Amino acid sequence: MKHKISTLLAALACLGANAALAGDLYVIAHPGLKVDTTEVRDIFLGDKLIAGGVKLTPLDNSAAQKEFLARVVNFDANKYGTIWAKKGFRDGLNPPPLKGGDAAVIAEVKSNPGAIGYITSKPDSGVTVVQKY
Amino acid sequence: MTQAVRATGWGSRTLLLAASVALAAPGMAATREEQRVAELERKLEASLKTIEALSARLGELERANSQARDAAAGQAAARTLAANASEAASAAAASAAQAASRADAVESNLAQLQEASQRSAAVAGVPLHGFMDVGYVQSNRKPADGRKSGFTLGNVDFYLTPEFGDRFKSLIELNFEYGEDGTLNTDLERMQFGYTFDNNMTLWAGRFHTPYGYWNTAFHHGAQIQTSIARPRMVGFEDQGGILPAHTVGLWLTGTVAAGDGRIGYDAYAGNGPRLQAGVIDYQPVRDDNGNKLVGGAVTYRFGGAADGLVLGVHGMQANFNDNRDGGTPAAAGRLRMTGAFGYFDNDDWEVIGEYYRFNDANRSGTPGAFGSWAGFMQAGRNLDAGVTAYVRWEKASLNVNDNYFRGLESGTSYSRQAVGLRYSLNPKAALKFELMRTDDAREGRSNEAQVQAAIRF
Repeated sequence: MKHKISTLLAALACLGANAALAGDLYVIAHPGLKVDTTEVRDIFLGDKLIAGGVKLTPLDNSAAQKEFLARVVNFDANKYGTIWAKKGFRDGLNPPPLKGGDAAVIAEVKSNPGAIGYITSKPDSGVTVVQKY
Repeated sequence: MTQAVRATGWGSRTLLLAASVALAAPGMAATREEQRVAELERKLEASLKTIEALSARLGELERANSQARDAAAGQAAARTLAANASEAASAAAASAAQAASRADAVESNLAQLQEASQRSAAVAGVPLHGFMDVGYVQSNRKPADGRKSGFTLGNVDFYLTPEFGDRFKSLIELNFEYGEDGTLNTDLERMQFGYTFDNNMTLWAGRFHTPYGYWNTAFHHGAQIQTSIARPRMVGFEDQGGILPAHTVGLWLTGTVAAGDGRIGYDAYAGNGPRLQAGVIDYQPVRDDNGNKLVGGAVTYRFGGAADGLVLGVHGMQANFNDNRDGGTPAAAGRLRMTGAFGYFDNDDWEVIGEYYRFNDANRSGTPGAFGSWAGFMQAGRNLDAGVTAYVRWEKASLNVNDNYFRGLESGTSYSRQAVGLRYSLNPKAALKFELMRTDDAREGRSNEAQVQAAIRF
């Protein structure tokens, strides 16, 4: 009986933890930017630099980076940082700027024709939702 | 007071006055006068009673009128208060909405200003990065100056990656390094300008890391990002035992193309050919000593899907060279021709790097003919828990002593080397390493080294 209760409590704890991690992620882009959902990972790994003649500016969001890296890029933060360090050292690429939160990402996406970022809540008008995760 | 009441008041006084005059008149008959006085007294009393009644009624009317006025005034005041309260509430709501809107605007503007300043900095070419390493070496080698062991300064390496508009970029790398003889050398490691045509093609011009193999372009002077302390000797820098030009001054076309689950990568370059100068490769940063350029290239395939992290490639280069052994007239000449293959695998658990170089050189002076040599290495690193990586490396170079190219190099001797080490990541940007290395050199014999290194990147 005690074992069953412990198991149930553990299961509930896991559900709670997963619920905490399971918030939506919205990848957003400037309204004039044409980006396919299949290109998001390549963009954030520096393999795709230009879309429709516009230089891409991927933006990281400190409020959601861990979740984004897990769901979309499939690397942890250390690996992600090392990849960009190597890309910078070999190819002269600058890593995505790290924004302080959703508001900063939205502001940059609205004003920069090549900007693409990710936020934690559904945006209002002024940006294009590329993909919801 | 109404006119009826005022008339009644005046009538009363008149009556009273008349009564007084009548009472005050002398010579009247007592009986007639007494009767008349009694009559007048009765009338006076009646009048007084009437006056009292009228006065009471007047008071009632005045009281009623006053209450009515008060009620009306109260209602008006309540309506005024309600109206004022409503206005105040509306004003407060409007103020709150304005305040919230202004706060939002201020926050948005602040965020935009912050981001704009960062964007300006990036566009203006501010990003500065670098590497630094220090260490300790314990060795039983016998160098000419007698220095074998002790604390040692590695590199301080700065690199900048300014961008100029959407397509133009540059990479500038300045390195400060102490040589084996203890002198401080300053080297403009890279100075290259690039133009990105599209996602598949970038053209660089200037001085760049020659794109052969994996190690030379991936790590170079970046001690913190490479797992081991020492580079494989065959891909060492020109003045540190390398047998290939680690740098080229010229043009470099590079890019990747999506192919299946992965990507095909390519490098094609042409630049000033190398020459041998006092036993060391000189990549000739200013003009070429002969009309023959160094040409080379590499093709890779980066796997995706289940083999994500695996890259396989082939590479090659060719150049005619002169050997200015004593700094004057070329003592020898030849053709350098290298082909080979390389691969690396990098995932969360393993890092495996292997490179193979096949030389088919030819002498253009001295002993004629073509001469074959080869060199290769393999390094495997396993990521353990708590940020520790254990690695092992094997190297071997079998170089033909009759080849003018290798005969002209101080490092052009056959050797084998084994290295084993541990790397501990203090954090994503700092590492401690420990390495043991044994080298068997055809000219210097066997030597052993133990090294400790602290390396950072910023």
